[in-house]
Amino acid sequence: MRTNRRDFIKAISVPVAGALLIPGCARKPHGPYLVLSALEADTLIALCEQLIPADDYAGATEAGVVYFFDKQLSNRGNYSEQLAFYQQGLAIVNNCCRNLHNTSFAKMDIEAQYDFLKKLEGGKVADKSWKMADQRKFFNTLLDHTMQAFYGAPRHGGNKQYVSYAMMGIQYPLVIGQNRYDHLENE
Amino acid sequence: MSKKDKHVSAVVVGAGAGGGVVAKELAVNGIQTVLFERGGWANYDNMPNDELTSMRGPMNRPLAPDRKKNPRYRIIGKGENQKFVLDNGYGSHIGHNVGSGLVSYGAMAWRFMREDFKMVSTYGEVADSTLADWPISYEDLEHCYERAEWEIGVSGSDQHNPFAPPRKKDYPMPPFEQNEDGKMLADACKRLGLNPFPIPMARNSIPYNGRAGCIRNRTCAGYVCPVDAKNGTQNSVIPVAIASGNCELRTHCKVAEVLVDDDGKARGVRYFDKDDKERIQPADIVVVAASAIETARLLLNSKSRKFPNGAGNNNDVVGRNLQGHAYTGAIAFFKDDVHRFSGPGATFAICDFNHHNEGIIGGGLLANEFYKLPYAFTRTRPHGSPRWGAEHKKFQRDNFFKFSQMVGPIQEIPNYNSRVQVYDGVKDFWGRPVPAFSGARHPLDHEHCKFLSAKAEMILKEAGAEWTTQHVGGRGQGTGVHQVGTCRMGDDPTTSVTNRFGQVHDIDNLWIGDGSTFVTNAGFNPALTILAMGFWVGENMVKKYT
Repeated sequence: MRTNRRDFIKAISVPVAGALLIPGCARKPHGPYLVLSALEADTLIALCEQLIPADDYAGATEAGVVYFFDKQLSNRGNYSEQLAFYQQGLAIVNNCCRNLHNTSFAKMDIEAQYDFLKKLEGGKVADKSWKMADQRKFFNTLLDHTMQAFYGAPRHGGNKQYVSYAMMGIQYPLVIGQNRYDHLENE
Repeated sequence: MSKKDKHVSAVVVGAGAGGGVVAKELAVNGIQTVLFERGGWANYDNMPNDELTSMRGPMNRPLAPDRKKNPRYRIIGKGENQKFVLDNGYGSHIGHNVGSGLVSYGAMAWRFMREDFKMVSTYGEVADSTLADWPISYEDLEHCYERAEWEIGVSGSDQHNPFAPPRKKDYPMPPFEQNEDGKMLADACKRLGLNPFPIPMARNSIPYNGRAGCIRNRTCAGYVCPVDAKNGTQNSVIPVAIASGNCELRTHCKVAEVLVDDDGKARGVRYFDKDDKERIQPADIVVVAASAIETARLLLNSKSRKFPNGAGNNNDVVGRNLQGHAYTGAIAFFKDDVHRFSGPGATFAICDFNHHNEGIIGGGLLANEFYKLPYAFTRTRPHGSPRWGAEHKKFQRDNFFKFSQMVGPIQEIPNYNSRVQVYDGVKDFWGRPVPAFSGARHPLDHEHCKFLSAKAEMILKEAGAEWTTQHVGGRGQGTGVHQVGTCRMGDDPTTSVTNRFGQVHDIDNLWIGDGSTFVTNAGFNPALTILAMGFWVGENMVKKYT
């Protein structure tokens, strides 16, 4: 029996979603990551680079934002309870992209990625199985965590060498006492 | 059977603002005291400058109680439709460490105004409200404010605040200087005929009490101070209490119940020690100072023959009249840079709108705010601005230094139905029934917030802001910050929990030593008044027991 690509994805998507519910600790590590698979990591890198793209200054990729997600979604992270939420969301993103564009999100061209995220923000990705509210919830969670990763302290995994502070013109590391001396000079 | 500790004279539950002061007053006057604290000592080295884990951050906060072990619930609906749902909000400065919120607070150190103690005399009765005068006046508390300012350490000056209540003694330290946006906004206030002045701060403007002067750290409100220049009970009165030899501080101990005997006398407390083992601490006197939510919860969880609904709760008043602070104000973007992100931020305030506003009962102070850090700033945008992409990034770097705001806490109008109860259906990690909130703020609070936010926007516009918008608070319930009122003091035992000295009606050896006894919460941060209340209760206890 011949099966076209779309039917094949539909057919496998149910067991895949089931497999995604396995807790992170039971999964084998992939490359440098604690809990993310290579595909999940590539997808996150591409999504986050759209949210905070490189311009004259470093973007999400250079800031190492994916390591924030990997660390915070792991057992020792702040958002370990959301690992399954991300795994499901990322799988759906890639399923949608395969249905609509015949490739995974990370391999789509930049403009198509941007358009996809715009639709996701508004809950308007054309996929009947992904409810509008769920699309927006995934986008808003991803966006909030990406901002935390890019602007938070590097010890959480992102904002490598405080690249976001440099972009904003904020001195870092802060030398304790430095502000006091600034203040005295201005008296 | 729980192990019994050696009998002591007094037990104080909670080493925060109120409890720290009461324990010190008892100890230095020769009363053997055990001071219980559910957390440990906050240590800067374990809590680096990290926006995400600060008391204003989104992650698990090392200074705050573990939410999983300490769940809080909300009661929705009535009668058969009543439901208990997990309450995720845990607020800004609810601490679990020696000094509690005074470790991480912004350290504004306000005296309430005379009117704040006489709200009904000043404004009359308010419908659907339990607004009332305090049984004590500003004059009664004045010397306690003075002791709080000198023993804890406050920098300030009333010279330019015509609304400041009278004082006998000046602040122990000179006021802080104005920062850049503070100068600009204060000048705008003057042009509008308002009266800007430096915020009184429980921070060292000069070295004081053996500790360094403030280094103008930008990570201040929400953080531990790296040089210990921010003042609380943890670095002032609690060390004094311990040094007296009469106070044993027991950290990581969770008190579960005030033991009340069949004669209606408090006999000590049942608690879980640092290893989570259940123990009994017998005592002649018990002081509860666990802050308004946990104090009410502890009393409600302390059931006995004479008080089947909780200690001191035979008139169903414990837990009622819960008040916090609805914050309200306006934000602005300017054409040019207006600050340099040095120092914690908030430097000046006005009290022109605390009282005697037309059509308003009470009001609130307005001040420039502590600076937002980069992650918080990502959520600070004119409506409709792109939230992500290249434009987000450009906005972030082009406007960070062009942002300023004016905010303040509105004086909440208390009501009987805004309350803390306990929910027997869910127990915390130690098996204690969890606190459950119900009710909401008085509808007037939102109206009053509109008033104050409009004034904030007016000032920002006068200062030349290119774009402004009001953030109007006042809905919901004040469970997260500045919580007070759940065991209000009063002369009538049917409408109050303690008498004017903080002594529980009907249980004369049980005292409340924190903000729970406040009748109203004023339009000011309450920390200094809670400290003053600690001195008030402590002095009255010493008079009675020595």
